Amino acid sequence: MASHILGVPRWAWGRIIDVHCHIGVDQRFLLDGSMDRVVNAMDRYGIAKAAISSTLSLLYDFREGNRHVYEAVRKYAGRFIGLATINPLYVNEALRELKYCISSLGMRGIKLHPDYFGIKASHPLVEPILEMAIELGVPVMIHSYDGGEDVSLVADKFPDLSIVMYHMGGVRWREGIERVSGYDNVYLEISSSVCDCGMMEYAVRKLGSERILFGTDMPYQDPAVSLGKVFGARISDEDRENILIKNAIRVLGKE
Amino acid sequence: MDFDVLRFRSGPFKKHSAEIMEELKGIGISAYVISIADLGKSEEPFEANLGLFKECCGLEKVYLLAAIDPTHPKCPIAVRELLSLGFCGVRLTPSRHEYKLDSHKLSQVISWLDYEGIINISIRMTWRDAPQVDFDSITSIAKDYGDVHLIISGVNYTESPWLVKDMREVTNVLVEISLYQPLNGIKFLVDVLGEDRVLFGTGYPAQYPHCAIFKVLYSDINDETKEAILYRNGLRMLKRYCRRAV
Repeated sequence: MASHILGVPRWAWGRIIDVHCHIGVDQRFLLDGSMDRVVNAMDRYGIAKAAISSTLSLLYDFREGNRHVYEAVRKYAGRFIGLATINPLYVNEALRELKYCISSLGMRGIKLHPDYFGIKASHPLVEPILEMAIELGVPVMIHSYDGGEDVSLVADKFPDLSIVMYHMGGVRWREGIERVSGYDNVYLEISSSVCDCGMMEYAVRKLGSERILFGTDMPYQDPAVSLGKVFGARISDEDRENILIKNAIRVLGKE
Repeated sequence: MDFDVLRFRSGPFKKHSAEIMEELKGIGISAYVISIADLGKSEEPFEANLGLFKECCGLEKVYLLAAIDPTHPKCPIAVRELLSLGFCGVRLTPSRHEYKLDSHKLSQVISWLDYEGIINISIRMTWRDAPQVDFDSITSIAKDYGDVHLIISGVNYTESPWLVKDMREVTNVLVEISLYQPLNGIKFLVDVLGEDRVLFGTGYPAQYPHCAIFKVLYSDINDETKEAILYRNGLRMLKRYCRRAV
């Protein structure tokens, strides 16, 4: 077992990039991810930047959530990377919002949540959004707790689209890893309440550490959970550096 | 002091107790409480737990909880015999054994323990499980049996409203943290329950133990509170319930 008992090593401190984070509260579970609290947690764990969407987008109005994200990116310059959350069921309005968020508000990725919005990413109605993502050159982040079924369909149809599969497929992570391993345009993001021993090693073995991304899913998870996976796994420091830092720069681009 | 170590007898997480001890020592954990994680529903409880007892004989700072399914007819006798061997209490896993843990079953278990033993209720063993627990029953039993300690494992943010609503004043209930994952979760538990009622556990070897260690070490609480969670609270429980030196 890896012996990073004292925590995040010096080489990683202040360089880590979190590609899956939320700001906002979720009253159902008493979760408080106000932007100040998120930045406080980032500072405690040595996380330099976080790609954020807002819980408002999931629980209330996706457009309000995107304004919330923009406000946070402006308030904490250099700490947050904005993701545009898009509800595909709003069809033309969704496309307008997407274009505005990326082109005018400077957001650098798209977040889709099939469970909250009740429409799979592989549904035909989502295709114009995915085509626009390719045109704008931004990755699409897709919530995945279904063992990668939905993501693999999208990856198959859109080989030029850069896809980040959030949660590695969830409780069905092994299935998720296997299902997307053949699609070079799919990256795995590691956050979830599931922290089964062996899951990181399996992902690195199957896909290579170049296709795995660090994410926290704050405030639903504490950063300790994903950091514990990275530093508890029997993988090399080179793999850890890819997962924590280098791959995110490649996927999200440098500022 | 790790209050949530699991002995799997088959499958990918199978590890001998001595091997677990060596590995946990390597990351700073020097004592642990272990129970069988994969007790079968119809498996004879005494023999299954006796295997763990024999395996752990001679291992210092390893403490045992007997895994039981209270619907098994041989449970009452098995529990008494296992306590006399030195088990500190029992672990209940209703989602694994597919029964609803209600106040009747819980009070039965308390009487089998003769009011002297830890009761660990694992409401879910992994994130895959749906809790098979009547939370109101836990609350009422905890209030009715104020001298008995209940340790709840497998709690995550979905249970946070219950903790606030019902658990603030029930001082004989402790929460073990291995599956409690939300942002600033340890501070939340300390604020709601008090530092004396939060127990460190990792879920090893099913889970990466670093996740639980980081949760405590990096949490926004003072060092004294971290000490309480990491070992003082566990030690207090063992001193009260363990029949051998702690």
